Amino acid sequence: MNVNYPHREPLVVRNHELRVIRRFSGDPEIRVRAGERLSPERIIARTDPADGAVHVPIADQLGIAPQDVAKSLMRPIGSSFAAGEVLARTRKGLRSVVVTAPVAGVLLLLDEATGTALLAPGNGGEIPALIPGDVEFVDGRQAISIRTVGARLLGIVGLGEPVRGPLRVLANKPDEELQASQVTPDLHGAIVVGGAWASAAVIRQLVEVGATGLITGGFIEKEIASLLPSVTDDRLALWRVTPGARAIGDEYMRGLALVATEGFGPLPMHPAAFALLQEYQGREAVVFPATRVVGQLLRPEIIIPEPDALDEDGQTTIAAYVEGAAVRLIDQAYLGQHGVIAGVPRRRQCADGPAVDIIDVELSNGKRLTVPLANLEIVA
Amino acid sequence: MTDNDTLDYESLLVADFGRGQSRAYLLEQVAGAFRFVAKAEAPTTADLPFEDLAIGWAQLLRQLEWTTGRAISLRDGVIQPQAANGDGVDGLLVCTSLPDPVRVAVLEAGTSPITTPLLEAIKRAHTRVFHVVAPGGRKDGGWAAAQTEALRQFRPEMVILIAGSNHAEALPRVIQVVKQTTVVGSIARAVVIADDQAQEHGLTAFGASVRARSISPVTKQPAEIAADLERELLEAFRARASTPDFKHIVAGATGEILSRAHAVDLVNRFVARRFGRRVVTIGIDDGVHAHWASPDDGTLATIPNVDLGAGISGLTDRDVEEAKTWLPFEASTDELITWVLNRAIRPWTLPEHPRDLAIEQALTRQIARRAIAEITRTQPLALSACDLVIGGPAFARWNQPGAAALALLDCIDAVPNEGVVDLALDQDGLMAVSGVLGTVDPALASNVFEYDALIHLGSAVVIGGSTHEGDLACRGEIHYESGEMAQFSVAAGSVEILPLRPGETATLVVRPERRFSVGGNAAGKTVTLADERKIIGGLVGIIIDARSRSVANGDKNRAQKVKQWLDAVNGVTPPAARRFA
Repeated sequence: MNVNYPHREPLVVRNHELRVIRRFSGDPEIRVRAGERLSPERIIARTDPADGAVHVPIADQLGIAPQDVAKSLMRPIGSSFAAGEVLARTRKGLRSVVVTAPVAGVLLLLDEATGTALLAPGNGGEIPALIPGDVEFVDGRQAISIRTVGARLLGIVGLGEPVRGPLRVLANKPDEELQASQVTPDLHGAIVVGGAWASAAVIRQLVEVGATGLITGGFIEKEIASLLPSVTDDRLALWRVTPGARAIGDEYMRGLALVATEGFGPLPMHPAAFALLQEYQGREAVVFPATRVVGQLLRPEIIIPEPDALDEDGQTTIAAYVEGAAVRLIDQAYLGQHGVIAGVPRRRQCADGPAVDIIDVELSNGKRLTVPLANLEIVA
Repeated sequence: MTDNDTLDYESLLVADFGRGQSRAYLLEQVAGAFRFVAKAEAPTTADLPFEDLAIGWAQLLRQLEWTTGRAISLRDGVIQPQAANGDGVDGLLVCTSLPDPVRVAVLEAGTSPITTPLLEAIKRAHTRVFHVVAPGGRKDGGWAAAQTEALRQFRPEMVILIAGSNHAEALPRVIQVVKQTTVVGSIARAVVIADDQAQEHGLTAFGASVRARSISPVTKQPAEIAADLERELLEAFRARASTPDFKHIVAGATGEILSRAHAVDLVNRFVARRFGRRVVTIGIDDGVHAHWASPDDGTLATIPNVDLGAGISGLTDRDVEEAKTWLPFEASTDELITWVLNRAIRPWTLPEHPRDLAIEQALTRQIARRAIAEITRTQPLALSACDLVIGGPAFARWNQPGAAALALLDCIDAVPNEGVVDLALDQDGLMAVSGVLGTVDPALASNVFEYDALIHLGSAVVIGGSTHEGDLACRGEIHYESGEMAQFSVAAGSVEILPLRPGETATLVVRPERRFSVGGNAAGKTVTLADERKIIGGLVGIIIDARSRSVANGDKNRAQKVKQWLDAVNGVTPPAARRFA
């Protein structure tokens, strides 16, 4: 892995040539060909709905025998449920116990041996392009490369499914916490830009109003974890890529795409990233939140496509350690700080210790630091 | 070994491809011995954004060429053999930990002599192992359901089913687990080690979708079965490593491609046999690997999904909570979890700030102790018999020899029988290099190891027993070869350093108090370390460790104590003894 993975381009770009690789799990039927121009709504692949289905352990949650689950279902197999809608209900003495759908989708089947239901999210395995562009190549049944032109911001960690919607910047400054009072019903369908971080209560409110995405500077681990089903007592389990999973938290987060641009903790968003999102306020954006730092690398991306520029060449840039390049520091002691490169890379040898490539950086507060190249990312 | 044995190779290049970092080493004949000459290190480029291992490899070769001032490669690869003008090398050797480990489940019903050698063999073949033994009693107690769930999450690629003696109650449970796990679809291959009906039942359980075969434990010896399966898994490892870019690089390679952990294990066993030592080596690089060997035995514990890079999230929150025990300051669990998660998403970052270094050192102990615990499970007496502990490059990158020495002592966390344990660092990762080299020419490997591999940190004298903190634990004196002498005293619960320069020898007399002992010696018995047991100096000096065991047990002033220990070994506080004639 390398700094500025996976593109070798700065983290913030505008009017840029972009390549989006859409990877699929399972054995999908690919519906597009190389050279085809795509609209965001175009279905590019169709997967077996059962592949991405969510297992809902109804018998466990209701505390009833597996064979009694069928009687407790609100609607028959094949019915659609909205996220949060009651899926099954039973009476326990004077009170009612319910199980709600963790995600909007179709009830595929009920395993009467275990009392577990399968709920296929979304529209039954059809995968839309989300992004306008041209299909560059189709890699068997594994992936499609789409070329597009537009602006892009690379995040560092994300959860959830890819989403599309208008950008709504709610924060006035990149270091603000997103407040509950800022969440209003008109955010339905929007990708919301908070400042530094958002609490679990605020994120829940966003789900309730139907927002599709949330971009913040940092994730507070405890707040995020409290939103998700507690499948294990281990707080770190959520952030591991388990064998067979496509990305971090693949099987947990549904309904809202979450992206942090800086890392974990209440971290202010980099000013260049915040400025880009402010600049494109109200524009249609696409969030690809998948994150994976081992094996097949994935990093969250926020793309604001320019459909009218598809027939023109966008800019191409390579992230380089040149004087004046905007950077952010990413080692833990300086996380959230930013500045510009103020020198050229050189090598430092500590006595008999390991050699380290280093560079000088002038921070935004005027302080000058010498940092290892490994500890900075080129933003623009 | 004679010099004539080593004349076939004038120089060799060794490549070590890791998931995060790759290294290239140049080894050469220097004054009649085969020596380590130069090393290059750079990020591995197998993943995005490059997706081509050759880019990083070319960078490594350029670094080596720049350092040594000679040409090593041409456009189409490494120049072989070495030319008269010194350009090129006589051979290329390769080890790697790049491919994902094969996930192997070993399901055991009844007791079988095959299990122990089989598990040892599997661990050497770059695998992740899930091993369970089915209960033999009448009551299942939910065992099958729990194991099925765990096994489904593990997603085994290969399952080895062993039916030993007295499997009547246990086999149906294993069969049930197998049947419920095959539906996940991850199992490609299966091996049933059983006889008669058990063999038939086992094969049937895997169904038609799994390529299953059987081995009879009657017709083959356990060691033979283990060797066969190790070979099969090594082939799978090599096949998995053989991406087109990797194949191109290793096209001209000499010898077999080994996993890094396997190469280190070979050298660890060599050290034990050659020098009559009981040695533990801890490597944290693409997983954590603990190797233990005595002159006539050895074992390897490997946890491939836990390390200090992206694998740091392989730690549990309990591990992280316990890591606070090793910190010289107070920190909340939330802060440490955030630290771990930030490291997991940016695994290449280097700790520069003292607080970050301290957290990394604390987590290193937790990670290493997990692997060490695996060793003690199979070899309960291994640690108390140990007299040499070697830390891999992860311990060297802090550039704090004292902190590295203390971390190694804390990982072992035992009072050695002899009372003394030597501490060393494999700073450049040359144990893996020697291991690969050993498959081609053991004499050359021995040269490289003996001359260049280890940096001696010093010897630690561990005082056993405990009373109140601060009570006197021992007194003593150190007699330097120069004729100087120094006296010292060490309080219970503390660590003190006696200065002794690298390579310098000294005689040490330790007089423990009534309730204390030097290692496994009788309480209060004076021990003199002289002649063959003479102490040899290192980067840190001699460590007198009078902390009560287990060192992991914390109390209310823990952070302050850890700071005192670290200050002592890092030279912040003055040593316990001053040299005078």
